[in-house]
Amino acid sequence: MKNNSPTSPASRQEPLLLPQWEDALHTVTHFSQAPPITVICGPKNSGKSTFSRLLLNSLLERYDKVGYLDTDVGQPEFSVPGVLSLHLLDECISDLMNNSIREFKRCCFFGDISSKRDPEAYLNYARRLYDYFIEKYHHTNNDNNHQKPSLPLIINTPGWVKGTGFDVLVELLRYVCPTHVIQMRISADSKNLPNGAFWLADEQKGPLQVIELISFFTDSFNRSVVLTKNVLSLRESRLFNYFKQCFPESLSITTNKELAHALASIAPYEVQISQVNVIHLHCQVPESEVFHSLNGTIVGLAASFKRPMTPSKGCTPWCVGLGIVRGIDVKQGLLYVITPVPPFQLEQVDLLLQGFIEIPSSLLQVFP
Amino acid sequence: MDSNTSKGKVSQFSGYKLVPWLNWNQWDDVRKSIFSSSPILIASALQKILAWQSKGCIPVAIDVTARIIEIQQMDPFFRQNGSTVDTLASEEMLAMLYCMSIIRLVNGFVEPAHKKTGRSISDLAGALGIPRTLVDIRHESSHRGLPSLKLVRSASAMALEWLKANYWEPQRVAIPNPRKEIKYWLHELIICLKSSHVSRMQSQKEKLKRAKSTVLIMACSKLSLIYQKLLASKSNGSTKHFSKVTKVSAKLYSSYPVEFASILLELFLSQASDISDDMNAEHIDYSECSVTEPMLGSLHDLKMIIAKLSNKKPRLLLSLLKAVLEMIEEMDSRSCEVDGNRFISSQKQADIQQATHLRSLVPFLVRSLKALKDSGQIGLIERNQVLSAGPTTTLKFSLMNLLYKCLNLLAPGDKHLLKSVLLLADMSGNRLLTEKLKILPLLAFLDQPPLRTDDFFHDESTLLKEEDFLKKEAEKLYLIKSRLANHGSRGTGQIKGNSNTAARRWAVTKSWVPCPIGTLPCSFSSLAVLPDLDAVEDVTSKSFENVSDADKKRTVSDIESDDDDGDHHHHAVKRLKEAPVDQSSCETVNVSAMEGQLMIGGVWMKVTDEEVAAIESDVRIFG
Repeated sequence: MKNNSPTSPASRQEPLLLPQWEDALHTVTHFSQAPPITVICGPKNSGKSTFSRLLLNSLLERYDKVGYLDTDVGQPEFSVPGVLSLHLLDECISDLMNNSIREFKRCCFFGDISSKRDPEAYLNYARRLYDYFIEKYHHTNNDNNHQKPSLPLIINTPGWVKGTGFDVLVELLRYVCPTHVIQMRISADSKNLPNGAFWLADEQKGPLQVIELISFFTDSFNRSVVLTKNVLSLRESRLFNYFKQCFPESLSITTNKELAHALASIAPYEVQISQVNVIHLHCQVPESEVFHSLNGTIVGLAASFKRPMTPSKGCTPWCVGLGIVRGIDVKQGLLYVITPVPPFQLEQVDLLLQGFIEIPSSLLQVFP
Repeated sequence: MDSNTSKGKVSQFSGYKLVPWLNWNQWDDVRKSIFSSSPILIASALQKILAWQSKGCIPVAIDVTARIIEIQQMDPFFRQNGSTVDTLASEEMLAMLYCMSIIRLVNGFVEPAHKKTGRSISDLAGALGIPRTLVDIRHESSHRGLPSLKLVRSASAMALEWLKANYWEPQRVAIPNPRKEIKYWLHELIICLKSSHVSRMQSQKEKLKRAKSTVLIMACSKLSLIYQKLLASKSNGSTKHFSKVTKVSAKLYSSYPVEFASILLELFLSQASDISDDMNAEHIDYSECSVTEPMLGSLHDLKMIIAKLSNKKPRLLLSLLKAVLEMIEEMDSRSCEVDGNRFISSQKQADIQQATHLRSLVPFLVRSLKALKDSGQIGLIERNQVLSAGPTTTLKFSLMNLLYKCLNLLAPGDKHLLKSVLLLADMSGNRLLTEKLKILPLLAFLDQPPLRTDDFFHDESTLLKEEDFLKKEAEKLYLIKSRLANHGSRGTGQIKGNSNTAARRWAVTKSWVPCPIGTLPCSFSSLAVLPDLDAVEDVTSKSFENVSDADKKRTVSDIESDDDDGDHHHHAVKRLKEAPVDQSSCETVNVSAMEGQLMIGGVWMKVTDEEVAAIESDVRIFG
């Protein structure tokens, strides 16, 4: 039990928390025998992330650890844009309105901020992470030879719920068989998902519970609410926080300028170009142009031998983190990379995955 | 300064727009190639654009241009020699491709405004000057039947014209050309200095008369006097102008460091060749200062400009040192080519002379560097301490790398570089290193005249002296040999360590000099440089293509000398000149500076046991 968590979410968010939300949290946390697998879905800015944070805190009251599968590659909760990640969390979130970078258990580098560039690969990554969690941390009741307790899982999904986005979501829901689906709804009904268990042809699945919630960012409460987030700056701030981890905490880095300076100054890792392979995930790059393409970009770092248990076509190995290719010395055959990935993990890395994760331009500017 | 942010376009958010090209030269190369008639050039431009696309921040104009030209390359109609290799036979397919590119062109330019204003596409396109035909093709192909190939083919040419007129040309014109501007402001600076000289000169002359002092007055004190006055009299109108000009120049430097340094050097060289006789004179009488040549400053003017500007922008000194050393290196390698040839052309002679002028500038730059270091405007980089200071405005640089570069370029009897090397060693505060450099046999040139003063006078004492000298040298050699043996035993340990690190794929770079992401630090000047990103195969093949005959000969002679095992000196010298000192050897030098190395022919090189033995046997023969 984690009742002594530093900040109780209820007290802090009480004025905002609707009774309906509270009921939903209670239902998911306490009214299920087996650890619940909860998918949270809904359109953009409908409160998915906020609810998932509340749910995480709520579940941590009952479980020591909670799995969190983040499939929102545009605005991930605990990770950087462009990746799907699985986290095991044992700490409550104190700041419900902001997110922080947390260590992941497993991570796949998708390399773009929307699944639309390659829905199939995206789904493969999501399935792979889900399989990993189920295999390792979520046992059915008849497996009694396991020492470790079974853990609940929260799955956060992107806000793209129309067209291909809808198809992808349906595919995902069909694959994971959740015990609970929290569907966030906003007042503009045309933007909402269909009611009920929309992903199933016939409602025969057993213990499933669909809960529809109204977004708490609605006008009826007359609260000053930020409806449109500055997505770009949110993404940049996540990358900022991620690469800030390259530096000791004693070094105070609070502004872009300071981080840019620190990134320019830090001694990078060097690796022989011949020792790593470069994979361009979403575009063709001619052999002769690889270094032009790579210099000054953010890449995913992966070890080629760490193939997942269920290898699927076109999927890259697990990603251990992100790096900035900060310089290339072609004559000496060296790549210079900045990354917060710890050395023992980095040592296994022999793949650089290049996608479309744009480096914030503010990090490129250093003023002498 | 940054690789990926170009100052050409400004966005509202951060002030800079991310662009995928390395610099404007690369952009312009692509522009020239893609609009050329050579399929090879076009293909290379298309490849480069693919690389840009992979960075995800490519302007839509470039994207669409590339696609249209790519389609035209697939269209047999546009193939000049009628070859049908890699072409698309299906007219339907070609028409669809053309249509798609035209849709993307129109939407790419109109959509943002359409979303904002809600005005119709055709209105907005009209406002932008997009030909009506293109707008119609967009409409037609989206909502009705596919337009005919003939129509869309000619429309594609129209589209390219529009793109040229609305993106490529205006952008080309807008590319800043800093050289002119830099030249202008530098001349302005020289004029300012000149006029202040003249005014001060008069008062100076009067003072001189009053003092009835002799003609010999140390120029240095005079210079500093003028300098102080310049700084002090701020109320003066011309000084105000002067400080404004300085400010602008300093700003120009920070925007275009490379160009600025090269123009400053050009000025210096053009001046130096005029009064080369005065090169070594520390004192220049100001009364001789010519005012009739306003465009060329005197050497002192230039030095003062450098001093003044480097006070504002300490990095300027490093930029200049980099430019100077690189030029010296280039000239040296050029003059090396005449090795076998007794005949030295006048061009080569001019080269050598220029190199001498350049060398004379090095001690001054290093002295200025030292002054700035002493005043705290420039810091030294300690290993693994790059971050500790946090963001400060202090410019840091690696002294050792600079020292090694100078040593590498050191030619026998080169006082200037030698002086610089000693200064640098002194700056490093590494006494051991300074001492070692001081006992360099070469340094003897500085302090004492050559040992053999008279070749014809062979009395016993000189012979004895010589014998004594040779004995000493033999002892030194023995010392080096034993050191080398020591070092060798330690070296194996090191190699072991190295093999451990070789197994490691990822290692933290040992010495790093801060530079913006996307750039690399220059190996000796500690300045950020844009990397050469062409794949290695390309580089070698290109350089082989461009190699002049003389170069080819040199390569061949190198290979020959490699086969020739008998001549150790020659062999080693050549080898070391070819290979730049690698980083790791620079690093280990800190304390055990010159261990295992021997100065041969003015070049430091690693010598093996056998080589030392060979040299030793040579000595014995003489003895």
